[in-house]
Amino acid sequence: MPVLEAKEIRKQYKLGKHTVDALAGVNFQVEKGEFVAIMGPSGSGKSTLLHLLGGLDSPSQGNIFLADQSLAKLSERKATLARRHNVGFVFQFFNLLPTLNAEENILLPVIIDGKNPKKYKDRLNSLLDLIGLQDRRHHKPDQLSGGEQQRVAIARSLITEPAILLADEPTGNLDSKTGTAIMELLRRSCQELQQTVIVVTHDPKAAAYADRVIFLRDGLIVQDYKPASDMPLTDRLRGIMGTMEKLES
Amino acid sequence: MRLTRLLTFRSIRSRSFRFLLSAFGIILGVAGLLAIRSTNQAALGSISKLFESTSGRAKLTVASAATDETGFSIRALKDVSKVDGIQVASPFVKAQSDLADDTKSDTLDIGLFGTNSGGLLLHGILPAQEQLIRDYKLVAGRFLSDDPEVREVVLVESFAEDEKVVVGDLIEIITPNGVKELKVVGLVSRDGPGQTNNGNFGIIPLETAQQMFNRGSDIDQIDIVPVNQNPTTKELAALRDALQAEMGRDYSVTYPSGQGQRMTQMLQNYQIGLNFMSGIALFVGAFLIYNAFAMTVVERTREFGMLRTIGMTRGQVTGQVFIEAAMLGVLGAGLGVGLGIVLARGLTRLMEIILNQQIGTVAISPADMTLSIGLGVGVTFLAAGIPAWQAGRISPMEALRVRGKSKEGWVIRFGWIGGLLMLAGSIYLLILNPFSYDVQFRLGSMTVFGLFTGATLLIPATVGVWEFIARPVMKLIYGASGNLGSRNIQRSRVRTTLTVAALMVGVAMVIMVRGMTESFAGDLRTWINAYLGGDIYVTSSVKLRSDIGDRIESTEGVAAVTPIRYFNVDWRTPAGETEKLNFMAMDVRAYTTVTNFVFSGDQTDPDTAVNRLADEPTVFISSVLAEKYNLKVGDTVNLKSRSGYREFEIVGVVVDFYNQGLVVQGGWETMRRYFGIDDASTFYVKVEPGVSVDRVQNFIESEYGKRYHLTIIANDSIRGQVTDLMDQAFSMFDVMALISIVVGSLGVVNTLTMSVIERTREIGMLRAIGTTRGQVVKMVLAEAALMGVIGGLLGIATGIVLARILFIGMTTMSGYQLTFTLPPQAIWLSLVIALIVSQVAAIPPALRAARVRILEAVQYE
Repeated sequence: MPVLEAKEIRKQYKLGKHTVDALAGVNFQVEKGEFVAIMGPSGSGKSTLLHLLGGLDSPSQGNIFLADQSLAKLSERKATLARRHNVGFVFQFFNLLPTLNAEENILLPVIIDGKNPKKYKDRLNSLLDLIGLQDRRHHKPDQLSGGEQQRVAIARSLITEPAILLADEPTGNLDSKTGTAIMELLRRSCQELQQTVIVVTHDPKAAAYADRVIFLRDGLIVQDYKPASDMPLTDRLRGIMGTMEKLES
Repeated sequence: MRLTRLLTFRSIRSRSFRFLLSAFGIILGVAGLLAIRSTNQAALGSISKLFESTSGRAKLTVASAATDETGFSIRALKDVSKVDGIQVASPFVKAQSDLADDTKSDTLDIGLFGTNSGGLLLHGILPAQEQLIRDYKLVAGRFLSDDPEVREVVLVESFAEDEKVVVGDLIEIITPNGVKELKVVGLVSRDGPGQTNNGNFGIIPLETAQQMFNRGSDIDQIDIVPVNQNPTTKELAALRDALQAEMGRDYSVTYPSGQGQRMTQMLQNYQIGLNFMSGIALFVGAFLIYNAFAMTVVERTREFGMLRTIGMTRGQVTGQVFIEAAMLGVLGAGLGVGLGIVLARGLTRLMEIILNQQIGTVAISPADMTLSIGLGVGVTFLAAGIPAWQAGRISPMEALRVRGKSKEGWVIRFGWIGGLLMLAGSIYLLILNPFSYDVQFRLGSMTVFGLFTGATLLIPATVGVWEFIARPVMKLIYGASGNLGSRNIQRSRVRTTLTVAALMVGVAMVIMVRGMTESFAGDLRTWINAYLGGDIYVTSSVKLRSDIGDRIESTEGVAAVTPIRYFNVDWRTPAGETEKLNFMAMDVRAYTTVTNFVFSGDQTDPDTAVNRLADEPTVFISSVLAEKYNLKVGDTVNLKSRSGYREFEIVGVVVDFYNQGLVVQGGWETMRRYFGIDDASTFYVKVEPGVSVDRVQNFIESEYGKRYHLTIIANDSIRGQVTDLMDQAFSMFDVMALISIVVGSLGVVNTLTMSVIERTREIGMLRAIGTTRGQVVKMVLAEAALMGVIGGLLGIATGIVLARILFIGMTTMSGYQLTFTLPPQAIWLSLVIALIVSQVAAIPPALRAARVRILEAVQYE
């Protein structure tokens, strides 16, 4: 039973008199606990796809099912509630509230939902353990490094146990060492929490952590790369780079 | 609540200073409204209380019908007693006097609405009857004995203290028969009837007064208490009619409280002006709040976007902004109430000066408090409405965007159309509607908001044009950085617009206040100069015989002297109502040698008018009366002379603001013949050219000062006094305008700081390729200067329109006919202020920009 299913989705934008097909019929399914990376050159439609999967935008045609719920025909409010309960977001620029400390930032989605954050104490503690910031839980974002901020952002996206976690270039604003740690963290959240993760990236090293890499070009899936689960990281990277070269040629 | 605590409270705390500053508009508006309302109520209350307590239980008064200067025989008491339903009829005689050794001779008890008689006012009374009418609070000694002829006096405590008099002392007073002695037998407190003539008041037995002041058996007034002490309006009117019928047309029977109405009217005119200003302060407050919230929403776009992404609904986002608005409103209203209480004290003092009348303590009524707080919070909510709605509309995708791209949608593209319509609409409404009535005026003041909003909406579309015109100037002043800075202004037009708008409002306020103040003060000065003609002003707290003028005229160095006499006269208006006017009589020809008439308009031939006024029973009327009652030269006014109502032809319309402009002027002969008065209130003295005014003043002082108990003042010092008084009255307005400019400057700091933060990377790049710190500073200053120029010019334009409108409204309602003047210096000054404010406000962000570290900046997100 897939947790996410995209059925023949198309997205068109109007640019002056011209209509641009950002997505031209995309189909795929994601199983629970799967770690998927979406890659492609700029303008390939990967950001558009991420927006549609997260219910931030709706497709011109086709449908998206997230945890058995169709996202295509939702009202603005229902889409918001669907995001609140089923989607976790991680952004390139962390987007933490500077006025809240790490713990409060993590609990923000719970508070927005009007729930008592005290009931999430165990969940919070296990997430703080996961991201390794137990001792910095009361620090404000400006007292945390970029990598630490991104870890807090990941914990925030996981607090509500969403059906999927969507990450938009999560390592794009970090040095390579910190970026590696963040990808490892996402990997662990898949393995330890059975969390479904979808990452949009143009960094092959980041994509190598995924179970599966979907390549987009001109709004279409051109390759769905699924390496064997026991394939070493370096071999995966080689496979991904090879595919990229093939696509670019 | 938890969400509010985490999001809104924290966000406020992180920018608490700005939050507090944006509350300023509301604080000012609320404080102004509250202070004005409560001070005014206190003033009105104390005036009506004064008249109530000075008239005591008297429900009707009988006085001579001719003028209120001449008395009538005490035999009239008999006629009064013929009427049924009267319990007490108490006669009294008024006598204006002064202490013979009073040393206060070089100050004039002056108020904006006229002078007080000062001196010592004595009432000759019948002790038994008087005590049935008025409650004197005896604080020392005893009341007058029943012996009608004994030379005793009861004084007001405060007067006695000032003059260092105690019970048992003999005081010397000035009378037409020379200095006479009275024994002080008692002191009464300065409330109730003790407030008469500001406490410069005493009572003596009736016959003593008649003898000492040559009044024979005359009295001035009979106070009537009906048997039914709480009559209905109808019953009282019936009694009044019965009395009037019995007494005949030589007497006038009136309600005593009617005397308070004139003062009430004056006060209301001043209140209209102040109320308008606090109304505008609230509007400006609303505007600044809108500005502050719009800025916050722009600033927090990414944050709201992120919150929307993780599942916050539109309603929740809008709700949070509204909660912030509510807090700001409550805070602003709360602080406003505090400031209002302080302001009320100052305003009370000001009112006391203006009215020359003591006002009791100001009590802030719960109703006023509720109204002010309600208005403050309500206005904040309204102003925050649009930004709150906009915050809810922020797309969650904003969170995913790279920083610095704020959406500039339809407002930029089409806002100017709406702006132009609003501008045209509000100007049209304002011109079409001359605010003849209060309600219309209040509605009209709403369009002020339309005017500001319209002008604001024009800014984004025109920024490009402004920038294009100003760029060469900026380049000239700030060099190459000026060019860059100038261009930067177009980058975030929403923010630029809000900043420019805030400056515009501030400058407009300054222009408006200056325009109004100058128009009022300018005309008042012209009038005062003519009104206080000559070089020396001679007056007295006792009556002046005309021959004193001749003596002064014979003094060496005196070129001319003219006597002036003021008295009240009943006037039957064209509508058939009776109103009290002030009659100013003068020796017309002498008057023209000392000073000149200020004719209103050019429809009168001055020479003919002056000759006719001197030789015929004709009058000049004030422009206020002419305008209010649509009277012109050739018409007549129906005045109550000593032989009943009589038509006097109008031969001129003059500018005269004395007594709120309710003035007619006439010749000496006219006064003598038709009103039976022959003494002077004042002499104007003109000194020969080249002769020292001081020397002549000293001479008159030493020769006649003591003998006739004169107060002799150089006109320059009175003009100084009056100017000070006007400045005090107008200073309130200036303060309000200045604060709005300061708040406007905050917008500049905000905008530029945000721009600098956003452009950190760009500034780093500029520094990397060799831009010096100084150049970076100049770049930011140039951007600010341009905003200052646009804000200043737009402020001047809207300010002139507003000043005009306010002027029309104020003149129409107050009845003052003034010439609109707006000195060019005021315009230049406000432009300079806008520029200076913009430059000073730009210093912190400019320094911040200069401190940007190149390496960090190029790595900046």
